[in-house]
Amino acid sequence: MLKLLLALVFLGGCAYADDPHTAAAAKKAAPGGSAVSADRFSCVPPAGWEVTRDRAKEGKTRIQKLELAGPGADKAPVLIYAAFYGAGNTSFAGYEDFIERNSKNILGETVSETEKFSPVKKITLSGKKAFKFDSEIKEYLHPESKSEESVVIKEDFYVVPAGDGFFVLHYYSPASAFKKHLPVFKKFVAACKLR
Amino acid sequence: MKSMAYMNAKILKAWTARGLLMAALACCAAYGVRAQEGGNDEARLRAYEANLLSADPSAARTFLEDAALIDRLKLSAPRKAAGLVAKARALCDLEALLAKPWRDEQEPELSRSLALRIDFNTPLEKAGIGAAPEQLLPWMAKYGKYSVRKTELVKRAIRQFEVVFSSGGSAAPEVKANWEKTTIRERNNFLAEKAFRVLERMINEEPRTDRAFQDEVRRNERFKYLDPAGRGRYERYLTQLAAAETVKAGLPAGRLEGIRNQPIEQQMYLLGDLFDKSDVHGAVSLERKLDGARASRPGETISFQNNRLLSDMLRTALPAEIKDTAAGDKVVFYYNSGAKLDIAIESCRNCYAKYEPSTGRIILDSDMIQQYLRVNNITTEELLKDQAQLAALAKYVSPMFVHEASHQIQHAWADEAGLYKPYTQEDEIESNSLEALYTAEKLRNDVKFRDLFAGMRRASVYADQRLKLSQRFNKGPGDFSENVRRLYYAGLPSFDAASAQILSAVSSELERRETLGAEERREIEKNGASLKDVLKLTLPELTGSVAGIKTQFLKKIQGDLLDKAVYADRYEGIAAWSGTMLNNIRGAKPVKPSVVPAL
Repeated sequence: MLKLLLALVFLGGCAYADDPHTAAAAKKAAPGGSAVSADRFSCVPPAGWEVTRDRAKEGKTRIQKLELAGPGADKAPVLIYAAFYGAGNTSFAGYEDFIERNSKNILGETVSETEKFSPVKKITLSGKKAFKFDSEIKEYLHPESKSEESVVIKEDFYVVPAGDGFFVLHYYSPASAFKKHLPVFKKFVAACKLR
Repeated sequence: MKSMAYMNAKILKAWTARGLLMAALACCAAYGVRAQEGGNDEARLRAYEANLLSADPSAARTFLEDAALIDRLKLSAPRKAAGLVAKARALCDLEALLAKPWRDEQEPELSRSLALRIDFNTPLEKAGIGAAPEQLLPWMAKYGKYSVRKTELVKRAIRQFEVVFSSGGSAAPEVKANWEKTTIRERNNFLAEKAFRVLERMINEEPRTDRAFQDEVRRNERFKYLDPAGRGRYERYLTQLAAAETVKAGLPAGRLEGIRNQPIEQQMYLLGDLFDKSDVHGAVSLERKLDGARASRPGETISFQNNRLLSDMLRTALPAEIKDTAAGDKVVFYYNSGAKLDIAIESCRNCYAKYEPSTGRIILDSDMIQQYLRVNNITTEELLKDQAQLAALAKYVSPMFVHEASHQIQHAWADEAGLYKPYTQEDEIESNSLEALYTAEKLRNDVKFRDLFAGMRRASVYADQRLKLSQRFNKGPGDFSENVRRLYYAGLPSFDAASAQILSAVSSELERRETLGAEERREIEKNGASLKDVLKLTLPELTGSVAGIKTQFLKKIQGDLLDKAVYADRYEGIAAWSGTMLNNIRGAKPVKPSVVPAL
């Protein structure tokens, strides 16, 4: 009887231990630990704009981000981003780092033949301390090739520091459509609730 | 004592028996669960199969999330698992592709992306989307809430007859019917060839360069069909027109006799001659612009002998240039571990450099190097004699070298692991991240590098593009992967799309093989391609030649690609590493730029 039981245990045990599902599930369930637990802002997308959000990526990067794509424009999309960069996020050391890297070109210049960055202004946004700046940059449309085709992109940034990270509200548009959709962005910024 | 020992033995035996009995019961229960799972599996599989047959993307997602079922299926019916996973991955990939905010002028990129996916012998064709491109439209209407704008963009991207031939109403019905039998790839090839013929005629015959003519060329709708190589020539033509016009505007009318009636290439040569005779008082930047835009004269090309010498010298200079940087050290470590570095200088057509897996060479574009020499007024002979000039050229090409070396490392990784690795967007995300990281670090810590690129960006698109790539990475490393996918390499398949195509082709072939006679099967197993040869095949080569590959290798590829984690771990690891390293580098104190650029 004992031998029979032992045989059953070993056979059954081996069969189950080899189940690839168990190993795969354990690996998948390994704690990421970096997921942002709750949405830190609520915004109202402009009518007709397409909203995308990559929740899987948010968990890995500690960056909550909404992308809103507006009507098609000359050579580049019109986009609005609303993002919260949590402490320890994978991209920036803090709001100062974000501002430093987005308010100058890679050479540290604020003016070049193809780029223009405004000074960073301190402002108040919905009663919170915030920073505002804008830029105008020539972007290549096919940078993987020798193509010189380009478009001038204008961007507006609002950066709002928070205790455990910072918020960024960002408007991205080809220069030709910038003014047209700027009121939409301003309305969007005014209505965003940052928590 | 004896009775105590006896009692203990009895208790132990009883406990052991009870324990074993409990364990056995647990095992039986587990078997019961598994048997029940087996029953459930069949029902679930039938439901998935039915939904996948109707190409339902949400069912595809649910199926791929059912890892437990897929794992069991991989063991019990690997071919079926591969077929279903291929179809599901292809559907999810198509849905993700169309969900991206494609802008109107990205029509060529969207067209190339769809052409890769919707063709003969693809998993999407098996799901009923293709090879006739028009089948995509009812699928979009059924399963996606796509805007009118996006649907119209897709119609243009698949080259719908009514869109391409706006006068299609008067065309004979058989013309439209024949068009609708072709794939997106065939339509694109046809349209690209026609567009290139028009462009070639303009380049060879048209003497006009004025602003109105430039606008006319820009507005010509036909040129949107040019393939990447044709597009490169078109862009260069536009640059030449602008440069020629700017230079001619500064010259007295008398000097333009004999120039203005020539086609563009001749005009560029003749204008270049005027500068070389040094009696034209134009700005230096004008000359540099003209030199950057024109083709090399016979004396400015790199001779065969000099090419060999320069390639050899760069082979030594490049690793020295990139070392002591985070990305560069990764590359140097690879070559110091015994990998062969083989540099060649050849025409790369519409690229600045490429790694050639078949020969193991990194090819640097000869036009890019000749442009650098022209702009800096250096001959190849002078370059070869001057260590400082050679070091400057090594600096100039080093970002592309890091990029291409990382492709070589990717191939080496796959070879070493004995894995088939298709060339996908994920490879480019890795290579572009490394290149951007390298450039950012060099700009920060190497004054000569910084001044070289700051000076060259005005005359060279190559230099400006390297700076812009690094800037994009620096501005938002978290968004960089998506930028590479969406903006730079939309025409490349993602890993999911590529693996779906391969799994589909392999599982179909394994199915076909079971219907073959013993003699035919023996023939394949005897003369079929070896694993070494198979691992070198490109994606289209592999999917097109599955019939000639030995069964065991087909099964190996199937098994490898079903286990996505092997590839995903590598890709995610490198991308995360580059972002972290950028932050580390930024933590260090930057060098101060010199006041006057070195050029």
